Amino acid sequence: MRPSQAGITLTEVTIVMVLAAIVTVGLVTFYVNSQATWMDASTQALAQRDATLVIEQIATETRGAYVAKVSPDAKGNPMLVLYDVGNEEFARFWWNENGDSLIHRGEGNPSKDLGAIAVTAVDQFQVDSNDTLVFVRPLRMHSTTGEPVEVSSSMALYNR
Amino acid sequence: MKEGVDCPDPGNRSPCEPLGSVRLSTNERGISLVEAVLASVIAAIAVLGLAHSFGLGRANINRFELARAAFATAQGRLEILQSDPKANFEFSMDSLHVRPFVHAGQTVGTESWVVSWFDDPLTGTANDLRKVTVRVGWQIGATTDTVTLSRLFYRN
Repeated sequence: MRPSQAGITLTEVTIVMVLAAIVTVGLVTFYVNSQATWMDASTQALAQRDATLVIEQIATETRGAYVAKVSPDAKGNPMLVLYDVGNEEFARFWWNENGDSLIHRGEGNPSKDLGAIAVTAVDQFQVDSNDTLVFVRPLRMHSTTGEPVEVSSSMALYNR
Repeated sequence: MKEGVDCPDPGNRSPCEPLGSVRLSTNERGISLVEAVLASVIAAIAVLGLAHSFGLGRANINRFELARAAFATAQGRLEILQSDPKANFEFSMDSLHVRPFVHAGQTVGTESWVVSWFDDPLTGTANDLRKVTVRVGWQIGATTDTVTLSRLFYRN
């Protein structure tokens, strides 16, 4: 038999298959880990963006308010209600804990729910106020992969 | 013709090769061990580089999480100062005001601010406004990061 027609032995086939399996497992593991890292990072970046968005939204409305009051909602979570110089409510923010777990914004008097500000689920929304300031400390969210994101801030009532 | 060697088709063998030998053309030579090792090393470097870039991306996300929190803290400090009477100690110019920077229940850095006079050149008088510069600094590993914000306040 000429060498070009000799084919390959079972041992050769086995060795090649084992090597190919090792390489394949390595590549798949790398791909899966990379995919998980990318998902983790991108969802956390989205959660961070949403946290900033919520803080900025509350700050924007608060700066135009004359009075800010914090009262518990039906679930006992704090709800921020903002009033204009005529003592008319014009905006409110609350955490819809037992619904979609998102921060909602209401507008007008009586307040009309305009829906969630951001789409990242909230774990904690603690808000407090005095005569001149509103304190959000903290706003805690979690990304879809479970990574927590927390931010705290204060905003002044410029319309006093 | 050499003795003892079968050469049935002399036209294909030059001048006459032993039966069973095969001449390989250039594209049938396969790859050498050195080439295989080199290719493996280059592939490994490429894969490690890719994995490293994923790790860097993840580290940047963590870094910017703290940067966002620090930005919100600095902004909050300026808002608090906005509502404070200018006679308060927080507006004193002779000291560096320092507070811990707390994130997720842990002190991860320091928040500090300084107050200085700002001279508006159009007014012709000195010390027109107070300039407050808030700096929030923190450390991740060997890297120190800061966020700095400034705002002008009325003198009184």
